[in-house]
Amino acid sequence: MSRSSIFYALICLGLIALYASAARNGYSPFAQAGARPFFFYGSRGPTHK
Amino acid sequence: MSTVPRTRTRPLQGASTVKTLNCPNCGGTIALRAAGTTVSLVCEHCGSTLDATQPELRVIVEANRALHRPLIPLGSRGELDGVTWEVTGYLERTDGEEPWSEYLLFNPYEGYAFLIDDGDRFSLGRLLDRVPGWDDNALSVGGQVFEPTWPTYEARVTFVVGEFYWRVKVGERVQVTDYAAPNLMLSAEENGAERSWTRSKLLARGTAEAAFRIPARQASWDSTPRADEPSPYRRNLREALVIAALAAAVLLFLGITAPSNRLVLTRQIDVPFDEKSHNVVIGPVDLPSARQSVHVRARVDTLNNSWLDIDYSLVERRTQQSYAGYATAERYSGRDSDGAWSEGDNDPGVRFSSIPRGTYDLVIDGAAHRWVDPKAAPAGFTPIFGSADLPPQDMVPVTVEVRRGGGTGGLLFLFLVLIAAWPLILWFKHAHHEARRRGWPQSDDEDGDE
Repeated sequence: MSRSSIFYALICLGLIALYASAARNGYSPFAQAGARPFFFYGSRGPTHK
Repeated sequence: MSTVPRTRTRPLQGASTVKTLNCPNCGGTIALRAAGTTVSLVCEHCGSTLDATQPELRVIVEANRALHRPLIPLGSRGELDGVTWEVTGYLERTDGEEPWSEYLLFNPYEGYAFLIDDGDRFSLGRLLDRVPGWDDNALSVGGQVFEPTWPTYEARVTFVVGEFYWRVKVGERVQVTDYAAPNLMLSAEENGAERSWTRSKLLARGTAEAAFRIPARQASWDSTPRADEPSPYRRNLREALVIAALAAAVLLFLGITAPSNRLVLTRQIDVPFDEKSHNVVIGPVDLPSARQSVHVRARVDTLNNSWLDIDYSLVERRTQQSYAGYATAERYSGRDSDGAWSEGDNDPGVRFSSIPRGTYDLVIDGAAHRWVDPKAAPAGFTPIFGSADLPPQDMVPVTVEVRRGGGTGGLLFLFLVLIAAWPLILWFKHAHHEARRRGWPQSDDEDGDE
């Protein structure tokens, strides 16, 4: 196995460990929680033209 | 790549096979290294072509010009593929566009071989003692398939020095057709009288340089690959695909066996219109795991040309630790010249990440608003947006649903993309190399046929 393949395998192991840890802790980079920004208040309406 | 048994492979011994002669044209001392098999000898001092089959070296073509010295001097010895070769002749050829050099190598037990130098890489060629077989549109020699490369081209000798087993001279022309396999090239050379087949093996970088003690050449990464040059990415790509498949299988297993989301509570609340903010607290939200994600969803089925701003605070009862989130439910509909239309999400969700264990309250601040069409028609006219027939609402009923866990699908997809990145990069590099390697020009005849 080439050096780059060994390096890639180690990265894959790290990614698997990271995923397992994130799934176990309920972490998601796509979570939208957080305080509403000030510009989100105000008038809304359809974008239909 | 010799098929001759190793027992026949013996190195040259000393210089006993070399016969020293004088050029009848210039008087220079010349060496006859393969006496008995050499037919033509080109004086390395004056360039005259001599008939080596005659003891007195009869002059065939007289010349009086200084010759340049080949990179590997005549008489040099080097070991390639376990055989010690001696350089007996050197010639330069061109196809009209690209020049290359060929060294004629000799070993008394192995016969002749060619060391072909294209200026970047060396190949070791041996004459075939059999005719290749046809297999569809490819040639086959000893089970190895050779694909056709570029169209037949003319090779012309532009310089020659040393001794050869045929009568070679400057200007000699042959028609060459090349076929390629990884690391191998099969070349058919034809003149009016005969056709010969040569199989050449691409030598690893530095091999020929080390064998004949000449300076090693550096790889030029931006040069076009040779037709017989295998992709340097193939091996890494294969290994990366195996590793990626294993890693993806493990990730999918972890994703499938991960606990799915569970409903913690559902409540219906009413949010009045045109109030600055309406505050409601629902609970308890019990979160038993050390850390988990929480998904809060608000379903508002009766929204019509209005929107609802919802701010959430997930507050732990004991520590008062708070986690904020927000969502907007909105729904608009109407009719215009294109017909009925509607837009907006009246079922928004928000996900809280890594919430610690505890008992929480969900504090909801809701504010419902009506949308007023700035271009609304006066009373009695059909409105462009919305429907004047719907009775105005005072309250907006909202169904709030809280779930814990789950939501790892996006994360799983992200990690699968990360794992696939390196094999994809290698595949693109490999495909690019192969496209350039196979990018030989098509002949006019072939274009016309197709």
